[in-house]
Amino acid sequence: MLKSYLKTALRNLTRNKIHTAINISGLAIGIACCLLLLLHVQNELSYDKFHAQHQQIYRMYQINRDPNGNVWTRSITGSAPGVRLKDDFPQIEAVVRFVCSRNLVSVGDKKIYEDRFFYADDPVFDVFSFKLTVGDPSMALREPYSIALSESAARKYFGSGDPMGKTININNRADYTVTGVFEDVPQRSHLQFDFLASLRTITSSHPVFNDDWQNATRTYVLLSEGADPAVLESAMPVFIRKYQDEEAAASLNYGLQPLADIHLNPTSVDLEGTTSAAKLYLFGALAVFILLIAVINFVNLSTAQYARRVGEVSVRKVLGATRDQIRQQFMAESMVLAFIASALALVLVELFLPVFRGMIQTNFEIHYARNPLALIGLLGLALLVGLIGGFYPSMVLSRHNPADILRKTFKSGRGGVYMRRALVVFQFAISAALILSVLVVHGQYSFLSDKDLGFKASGLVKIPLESSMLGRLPDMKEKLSVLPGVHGVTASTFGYDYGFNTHPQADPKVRHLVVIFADHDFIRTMGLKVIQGRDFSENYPGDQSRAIIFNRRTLDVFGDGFSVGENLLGYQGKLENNPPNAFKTVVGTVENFHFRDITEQGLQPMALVIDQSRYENLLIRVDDTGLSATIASIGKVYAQFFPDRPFEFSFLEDELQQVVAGELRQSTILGYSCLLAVFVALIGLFGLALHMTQQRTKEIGIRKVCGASSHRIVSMLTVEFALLVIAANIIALPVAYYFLSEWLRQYPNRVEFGATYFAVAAVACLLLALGTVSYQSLKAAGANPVDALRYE
Amino acid sequence: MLKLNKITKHYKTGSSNTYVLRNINLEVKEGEFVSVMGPSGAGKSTLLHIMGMLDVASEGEYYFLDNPVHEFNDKKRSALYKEHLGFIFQSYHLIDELTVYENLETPLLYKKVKSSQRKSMVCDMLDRFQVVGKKDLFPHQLSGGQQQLVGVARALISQPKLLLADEPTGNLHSSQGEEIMDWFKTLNDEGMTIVQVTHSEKNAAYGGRIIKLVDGWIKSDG
Repeated sequence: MLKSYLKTALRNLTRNKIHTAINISGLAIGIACCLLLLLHVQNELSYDKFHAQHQQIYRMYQINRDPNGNVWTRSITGSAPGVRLKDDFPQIEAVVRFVCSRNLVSVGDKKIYEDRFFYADDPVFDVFSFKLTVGDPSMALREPYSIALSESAARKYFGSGDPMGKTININNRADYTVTGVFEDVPQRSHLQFDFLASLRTITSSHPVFNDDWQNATRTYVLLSEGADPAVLESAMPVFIRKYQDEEAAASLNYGLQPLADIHLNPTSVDLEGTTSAAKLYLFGALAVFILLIAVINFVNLSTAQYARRVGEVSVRKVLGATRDQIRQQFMAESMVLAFIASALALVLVELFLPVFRGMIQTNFEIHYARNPLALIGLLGLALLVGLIGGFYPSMVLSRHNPADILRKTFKSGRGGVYMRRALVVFQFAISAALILSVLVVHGQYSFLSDKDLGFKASGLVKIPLESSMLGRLPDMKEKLSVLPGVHGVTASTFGYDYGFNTHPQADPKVRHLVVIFADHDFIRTMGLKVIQGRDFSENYPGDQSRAIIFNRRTLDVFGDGFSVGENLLGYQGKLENNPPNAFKTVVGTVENFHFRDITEQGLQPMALVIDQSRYENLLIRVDDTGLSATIASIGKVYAQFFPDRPFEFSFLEDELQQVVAGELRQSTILGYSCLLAVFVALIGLFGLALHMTQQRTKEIGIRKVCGASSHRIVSMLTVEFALLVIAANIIALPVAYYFLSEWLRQYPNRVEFGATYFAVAAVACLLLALGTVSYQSLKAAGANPVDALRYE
Repeated sequence: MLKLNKITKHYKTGSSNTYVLRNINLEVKEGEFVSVMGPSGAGKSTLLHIMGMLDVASEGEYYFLDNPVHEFNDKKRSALYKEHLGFIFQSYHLIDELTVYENLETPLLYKKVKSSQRKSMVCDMLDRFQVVGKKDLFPHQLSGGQQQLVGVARALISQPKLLLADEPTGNLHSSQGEEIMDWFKTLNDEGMTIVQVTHSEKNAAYGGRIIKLVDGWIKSDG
């Protein structure tokens, strides 16, 4: 029986080649999207689960509370709690702290700045399942100045030679001994490093490091089996009060986050290997939409063929088929189609995996043999699609009364027409919404990248600095600023979050702002506009320790509390955790500028403060002409001052663009999904139009014989589809408007999307649909009516 | 074999009923060859459908092999039908996607006959109707007469007790029609009960009994 079902199914599929091609290609695209998504989600959910003890490992995060009741969390803790936890809590078996830093690694002639460089407490290999291939896991990082390398780092610096016992020089300061080689960190780890040095290197030379309660480390604890993290969390306030004064304890707390949760639920200031669950929902929704559109094609084309199949069904019933047997036959047909589509989907997945990897920026692999879920997922999708696609046609057809066939003038009913229309409206509603989303998202990103940064980003060369270089910085600045083609040189930092207390007691509030530590030349070199007061100046020696300059945003946000309208000049305040030069006086304000992040952060309240001990990079304003010669001469000066460090530089503009690029990538995914969804909807429409014109061949012939012009025929055939697409737009666009407005709300600077956007989306949708339909209509209208009527 | 008692069939058209069959009383005995004749719209086909259990009467009783078909539900009716009835159509109604062999096999599949037995039954039929050479052809590759021959073979393959034919020669040339009618005669001689609807006096003459229908009434029987 099954064999007979399959045979008829295959013959039916080959008979209606266009319908079959439409169904299979649409479903294959839908299934491929779903499969990619499923595997992506699986990959995302598997982060950090390769650690054997991952269920007992927690990351400590810091909860800060300011006197105003604002609470914020950070993934960075001080290094102090990590040292004290193990003695205070028996349920903690081990504590591992990580310190991430960028270091200059030299072996022989090779000198490279390495970002994937962590310091770690020595139980790291016992707690986490990073595999040491050479060396003793419990002893490797026991001694100061010992270091373990990843296999690829070992290859990079030592080739095929044995690195064990060799020395590596770090920052031209100290030699570290290689005591272990570990397997490269799996991609599914939120901790990513190639160098793991003993944290004792730092603590042995700077014992105060272990007393820091604020910044610097990431702390992970291994709890004993069965220990409740909630119990530990509730004990934290007592723990903090034991070591900290009352005031500090009131503003500080710690929480514990399970290791495997970190990847999808990053806390602020997190590591690179994190993403957000929201993105997964977005991908999920898109894949489901595309599959849904494909399944609708399937149902629509099957019911459209209803008239033709009804004859066959009646004959089968006359030959003794029961309703169940008819249902089974159509289900089998649907399944055959779904499975062929799934096979094709596998090919598509293979083809588009590299593109998809690029879009989501992870590097995940699919091993079907090692991944039963991939196969089960594919099988499940095929079954699901087959069931959904076969359900409606098989229900309708099996219900048919066999006596109909014996009526000589058999007429196909209007059955299914309304259903079909509704489904077409639904498909195009999704398509219209996606088109509008693509327009708005793209509009927003180009709005952001075209946005005036508040300074001229092009022509700014950035050179990273290290604290050990700062002593020679003034001399180097002087040499650099006289080079031909160089217009300005300034040293500064990235922006950091700080609390700011005004003084005197007029306003006790702590406010959050972003602080950039910068030198006297910053405003001039960057080209920022001073709108109140003055720039930092050498003429005011006090500026060194006491001056602070706000941006305009600070006026908007802080203005009211300062009670003197918009003028903050002369007001004093204290930067939190910056005791050496406690009180700052506002000497000026500058126009807003987007330094750190073009999207949102740039518009936070921001302050510039001079602090020569903290600079992290040098920004050099250079001429566009003779750029390479200028950079070469900068490199020469750099080499004079720091002969033992490689000269590395970048363009600030590129870095700022990279922030947008991440978001842009998401809009690419949206763009591709939209393209696929619209494509699948259109091929479905094409099939439907083909079917309808075929069905109306006789009617068209008669109309032409009666004198209808081709023009009339075409409009008769297209008007119905046009109305459906317009209805779809009317339904979809308001809904899309709502969600897009919500999405845009996260951006302080957002594009205005008005009538034009809606018009473009609606017209695009309509034109695409009409273009698809009119091919069939024109063909039908142009046909000779005699051919149409001959067979009657 | 079958007995119709006061069978009436009507359809609702708007507020009034349109009568297709009125007060039909009819008995067909085993081994009879009955021809139903009458002008278009007389209710011939409807009568055949009711006899063939493809349609139900609005009123009246229908006994088939002493089973009260009018009291049966869908399932019981179709079981009875599957067991004892064979149908032949004017436009053959072979399944386009299936070969001659597969068309013959289909009723057996629905009756869940075992594969080996199925094979021998289909081969017997192919043999008997001399279409062995055409067993792998599709219906559109055959002439009308050949298609109807396959249609007859398919109706007979499940060894029915009653053969119902709705203008079996309506679409055929006269020589092909004669061939089919000769087959009917042979089958009837072998004991098969046959009821056919026909417009042709000549075809009706093959049977022993002619029932004339006009406007849903039986005008003459005999």
